[in-house]
Amino acid sequence: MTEILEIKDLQVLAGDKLILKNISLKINPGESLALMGANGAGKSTLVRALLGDEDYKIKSGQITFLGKNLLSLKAEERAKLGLAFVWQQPPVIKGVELFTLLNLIQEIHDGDYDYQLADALLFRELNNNFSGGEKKIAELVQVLNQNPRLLVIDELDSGLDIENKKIVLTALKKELKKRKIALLIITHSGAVLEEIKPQKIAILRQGKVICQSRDIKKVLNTIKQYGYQKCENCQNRL
Amino acid sequence: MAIKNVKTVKTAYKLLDHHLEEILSLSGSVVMSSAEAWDKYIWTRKYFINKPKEGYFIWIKEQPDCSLLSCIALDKPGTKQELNNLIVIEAGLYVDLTGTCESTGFLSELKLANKRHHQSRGKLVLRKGSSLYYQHLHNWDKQDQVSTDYQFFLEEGASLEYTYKIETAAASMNLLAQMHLAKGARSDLKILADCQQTNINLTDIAYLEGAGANAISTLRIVGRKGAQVQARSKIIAQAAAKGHLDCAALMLDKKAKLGLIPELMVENPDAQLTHEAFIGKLSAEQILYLRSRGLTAKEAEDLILRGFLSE
Repeated sequence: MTEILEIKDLQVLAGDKLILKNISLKINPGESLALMGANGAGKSTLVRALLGDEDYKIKSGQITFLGKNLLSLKAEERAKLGLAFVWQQPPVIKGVELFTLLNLIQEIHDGDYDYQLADALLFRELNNNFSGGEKKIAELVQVLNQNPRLLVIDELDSGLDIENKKIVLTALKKELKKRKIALLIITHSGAVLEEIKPQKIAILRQGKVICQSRDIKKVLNTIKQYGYQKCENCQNRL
Repeated sequence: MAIKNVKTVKTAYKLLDHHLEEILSLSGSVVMSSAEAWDKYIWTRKYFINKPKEGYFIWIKEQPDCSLLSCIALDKPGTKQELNNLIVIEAGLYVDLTGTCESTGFLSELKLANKRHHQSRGKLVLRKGSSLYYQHLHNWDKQDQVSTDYQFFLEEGASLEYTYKIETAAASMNLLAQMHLAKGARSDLKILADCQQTNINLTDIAYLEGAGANAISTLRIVGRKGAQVQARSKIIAQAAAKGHLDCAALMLDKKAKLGLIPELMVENPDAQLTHEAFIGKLSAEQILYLRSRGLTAKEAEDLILRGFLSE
């Protein structure tokens, strides 16, 4: 099977500090990969490298997305190719309503995801005083209108109460399946993974991928019992 | 404030250089030149001070069934407009007014002596419980010189929403807007300025003269190449009233010079005044966010600026 995303020997610097150290990951079309790791492990740096954030310098390595060299593409070109991000902390954009941005996104990507949002959310200033649930719902309707091939989600459940978590997860699972969207989900929550049921899990520690496995349950149990350090000795690597 | 029962827009007054192109005959109201008003209504002299050379007088005596438009334009090289306007809105009435001030021709190739000047003084009187929704739009040539001086008198319970928007700036612009608020009056002033190759001085002052008055002043400035802007925003509370200043500017060019001076003055212990001020550059995080949605960097910047200037 041809990978939708292949990260090979990637090294990324934040300022002068080397954060990601030779990481390699693969995601196949329609496949879900969960990425876990303690705070400071480098998860968000990987997201920034995928986004094309110029504050994060690629020291070496490759990222191939749908057969193209992702690192040679601008952030907007990556989006147009089908790489979409659910931001953990989406910025407030003063004077711009969610509705305005959704219209632009639909125009750019020929998006047709039928969102049914309350006017109170649609016509509010983007991300300004959105509750945790509203933020995630607003993010999801945006990315689903980007016609993504790969969705990158950074901390889906942060700021979500139980009720909203269920709504968001149900909508996400349905669309992933219906549209055959691949997923890279970064999370600290085993409960989210029980719902999403990813095919693979990878553990990031001190900037390195220390474990990749298809036995999600075993990896989660190991982390729960012994912490991330134990994953270095995992016998269930891919 | 929602626009209620307003179906059409009628041009109340249209002036090109010194030539009166159009004046509206409005049922239940008076629209005429300021000079005529000086002669016909003696009471207007306390507002005009001297007999006006040009400008308009609009006296709304009954509820209009339309929005009003005033158009002032500069065309010929060397024109020096000296407008003196007076608008009076009687008690309990609501008026929706748009004023456009613009250049119709460009002077870029002409000599300094042929520069055009637009000088406008205005007094707007809002009688008890009346409301004015006023959008004042400016589009000038980069050689023009502009000076506007407006005073608003809000009687008890009157309300004003005034947006002064500089879409294209003149070579130099001076704006003075002063609001006098009586008991329970409310004003919401927005000054939105997109500035390039210009030298601008903006001053707005709200005088909270009556108990329960409430003034909000919002200032949004975008400083592009060659922009030099000084903006002073001030509230003086003489009564138990409330006011808030919200000043923000974005610098898009490293050689632009922007100054924001918020000032609060309290002369009554029961008054509450607050302010916030910010000058900075476009947020890289906001731009990246929009680019991750597929907008180009230029489209992202334009959207952010459009939002900033529409707040």
